[in-house]
Amino acid sequence: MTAKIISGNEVAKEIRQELKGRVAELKEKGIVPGLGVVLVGEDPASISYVTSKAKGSQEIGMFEETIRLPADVPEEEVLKVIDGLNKDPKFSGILVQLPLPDHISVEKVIGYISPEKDVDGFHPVNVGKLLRGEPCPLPCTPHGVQQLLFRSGNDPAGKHVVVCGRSNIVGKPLAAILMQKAEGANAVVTVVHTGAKDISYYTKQADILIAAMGRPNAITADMVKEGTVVIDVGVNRIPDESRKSGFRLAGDVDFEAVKEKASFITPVPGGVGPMTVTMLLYNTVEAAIRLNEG
Amino acid sequence: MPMKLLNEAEIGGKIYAGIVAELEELSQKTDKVPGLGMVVVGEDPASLASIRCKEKQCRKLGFYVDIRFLPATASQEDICATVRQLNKDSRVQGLFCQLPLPETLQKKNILAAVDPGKDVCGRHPINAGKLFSGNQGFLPCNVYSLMQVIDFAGQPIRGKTAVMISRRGVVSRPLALALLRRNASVTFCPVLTGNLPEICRTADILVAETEKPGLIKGNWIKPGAMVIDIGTTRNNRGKASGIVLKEVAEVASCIFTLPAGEDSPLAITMLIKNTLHAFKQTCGMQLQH
Ligand SMILES: NC(=O)c1ccc[n+]([C@@H]2O[C@H](COP(=O)([O-])OP(=O)(O)OC[C@H]3O[C@@H](n4cnc5c(N)ncnc54)[C@H](OP(=O)(O)O)[C@@H]3O)[C@@H](O)[C@H]2O)c1
Repeated sequence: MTAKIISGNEVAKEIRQELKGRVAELKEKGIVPGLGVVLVGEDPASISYVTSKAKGSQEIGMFEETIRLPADVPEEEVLKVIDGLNKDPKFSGILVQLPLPDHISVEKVIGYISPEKDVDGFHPVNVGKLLRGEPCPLPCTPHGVQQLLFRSGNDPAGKHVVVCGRSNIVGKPLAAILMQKAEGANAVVTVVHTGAKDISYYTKQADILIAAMGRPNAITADMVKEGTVVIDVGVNRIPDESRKSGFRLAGDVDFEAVKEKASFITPVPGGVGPMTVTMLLYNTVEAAIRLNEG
Repeated sequence: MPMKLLNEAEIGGKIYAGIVAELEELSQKTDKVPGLGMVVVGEDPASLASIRCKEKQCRKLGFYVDIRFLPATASQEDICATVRQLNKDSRVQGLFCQLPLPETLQKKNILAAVDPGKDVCGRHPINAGKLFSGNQGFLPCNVYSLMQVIDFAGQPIRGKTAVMISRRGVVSRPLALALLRRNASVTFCPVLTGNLPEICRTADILVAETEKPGLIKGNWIKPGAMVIDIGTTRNNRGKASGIVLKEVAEVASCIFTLPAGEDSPLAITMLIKNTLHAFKQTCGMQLQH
């Protein structure tokens, strides 16, 4: 079997088109969703993420503003900026671009964002709600993975999903999302990590396999059973002299070999990548609606 | 291999002895004592009995105790105001509202009014969030008690496979996070799929939080596995188990049945331990697990 490719670019485009329509409808009612992004310092990767968030917001007709702060800004000043965004009705969503410089506590800063405007879904109250299955904004990358599955006709309901990786931004929240009693979820979910003696024992059980380890080629063909749906969250830079940048991107899955056994597979790049910003936009639109109702 | 039925009293006794020793040591460093605030609404006999039991245990250890009795007719605002008073009172480092609360009240709002730093029952969403993210917070007392049971059974948790059978995961989800933190691989089964028996047979630690009678049979159990039978504890009035005890006992190495309600003697011991943690935190002392 050769796997069908799930294109994150296409699914993302579809969702952004839907969001554009919803934003237009909201605007007719006088509601303009707005995203406030706080960027500390000038890390090139962070700048490129922030730029794509701003561009995405504009494309769907949302208001967006990036607040740029110098790398040596005191923590207190960052909290003050967030306080301002919390109070400002122009913003339905607030996001602090990570990582932050060492002198600023991520836990403190994230905890300071109003949970109603926390569109990354990282505020401890929202994380707690996610664990308990209460309504909350879903963290963007795992939500994107769920949408990729659901919209490619691979409803996880009743399937055994094996998630390799247990980070707070991908592995754990993805498990929490997929085990909920909800449309597009309701799956049996296994979470594995470096504490497992042999991860292939688990990966071979998977109907749906998620690789979120940040280890190139960690998933090889012998670890996957025939017909598995494989989602590759990993983004790894592999040195490549033939490229101008000096590197190419690869996921955690040995794509060429695994695609001969899988039924569906996501490429890197162009798989999970485009979904993260898309789901951020989704959360901001949802937050605007909720804030307006309540 | 002979099957062990784990004895709650024996486990509780060990932890209690540890608490006494820690208090002894603390008394050399400070003349302050740990304090626990309790809020009781209405006159449910089981709740009152449980409160008396907690009070007795605390007093025996020399804790400061502040119990606030409110009538069943108390409004959410009355209760929250009482909670806020205790939040501000530096004599209590731990604080909880006795459950169940009268059904007319918004339980969620009341539980969220408790200062997360004093939430020794681990019910505030922030403490659930901290557990999820691996930060320091309070574990719900019955989950904490189950971790003690698992450790008491004596097998290392790292590298083991834990399988949680549960629809809503009230107890088993936080328990799974605690096991994940200790490097077990964890499988959540919220749905009764066809291959459930197969998945169960991968479990070194099988946690059954289901009331479907006779669901889990002997041949679903990996030989030598540890089985934790939570049943469902939706209220304080009893519970049902989903395992066929006689069959499972033939295969498992040990079985532990969580007592009904949130207030088993072991859970109360863990409440006291959490209060001691909270006290030491406010004293700025190193936590000792
Ligand atoms: N939009 C996107 O496309 C997007 C978004 C976020 C992340 N990512 C990518 O996804 C990957 C994971 O990100 P992250 O933030 O979750 O990374 P992370 O915080 O480094 O977590 C990696 C997880 O994978 C586990 N792991 C690592 N090597 C393993 C192995 N050989 N076997 C089993 N488990 C292993 C680790 O286990 P331990 O916990 O035991 O250490 C850890 O839980 C990265 O490549 C990242 O770039 C992509």
